[in-house]
Amino acid sequence: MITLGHSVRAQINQGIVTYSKGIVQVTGQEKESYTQKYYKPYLSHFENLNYILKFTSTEAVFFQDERVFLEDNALNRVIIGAGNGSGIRYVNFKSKLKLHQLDAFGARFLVQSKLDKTPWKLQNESKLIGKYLCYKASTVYTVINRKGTFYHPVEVWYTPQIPVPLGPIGYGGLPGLIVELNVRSIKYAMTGIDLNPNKKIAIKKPKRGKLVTKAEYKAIGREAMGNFGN
Amino acid sequence: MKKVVLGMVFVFAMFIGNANETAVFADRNCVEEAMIEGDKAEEEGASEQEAYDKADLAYLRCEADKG
Repeated sequence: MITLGHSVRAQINQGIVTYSKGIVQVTGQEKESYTQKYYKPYLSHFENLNYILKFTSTEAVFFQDERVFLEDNALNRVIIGAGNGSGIRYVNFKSKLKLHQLDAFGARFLVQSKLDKTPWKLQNESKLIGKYLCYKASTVYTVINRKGTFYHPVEVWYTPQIPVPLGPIGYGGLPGLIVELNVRSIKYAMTGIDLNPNKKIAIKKPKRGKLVTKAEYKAIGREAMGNFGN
Repeated sequence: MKKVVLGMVFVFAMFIGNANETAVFADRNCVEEAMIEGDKAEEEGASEQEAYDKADLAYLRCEADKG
């Protein structure tokens, strides 16, 4: 049973969810965002980019599906990194610990943090995505960098029809699975789900990389940006 | 004769054009270009990791252009 420290209790013990990642297209009179402009020449690179969310009653992991071969070059790092899609995100519901294994600033890190509650604003708006009736919820993703503090809206569509409080890139804690997530013009969309896999799902805890806290990782990033080219 | 002179002028113009192009590439400061890309990303609210990766890509592309 997944509780995640939230009020939702589901009888779903394990599952595999797949997500695609793409750029939100500009519609009507909307102004193209920085992200939309930046990734415009690389749209085809997103086509085969898939992510997998695996979960059991005690653990979950979210990562890019490596069955789709992507060379480890600078462009692919940028494409995979779009919408915070880099690395392996692991969470243990019992110990309430999160790990994010990722390659950044020329090294591999294992960023450890506590499983905290996302302050969601639940909205009445609903829409049908595939066969799932989804409801809108939103929160804010805060970035503090050398240029200032930025508050990026995160909009998700979750479905109570799948009572699993999880979703892409570590978001969760809603009364249903996140079927779609939009952040900074990047959209994660569910493409498949298997709640009755034949085999028992085994989740590997990521172990590689220098173990750091979020604050330490942040400091390393700031220093790396300051030293770029030196 | 006129054709030959015109041909020589064309070749000379091509040479000057290419020389200028080469000079432009040689003068490019890839570290500066990378930092501009990284700064731009941060100004748009990117995390340091995203900005660093974009700066890295800009640097490598610039160096590749320079040959």
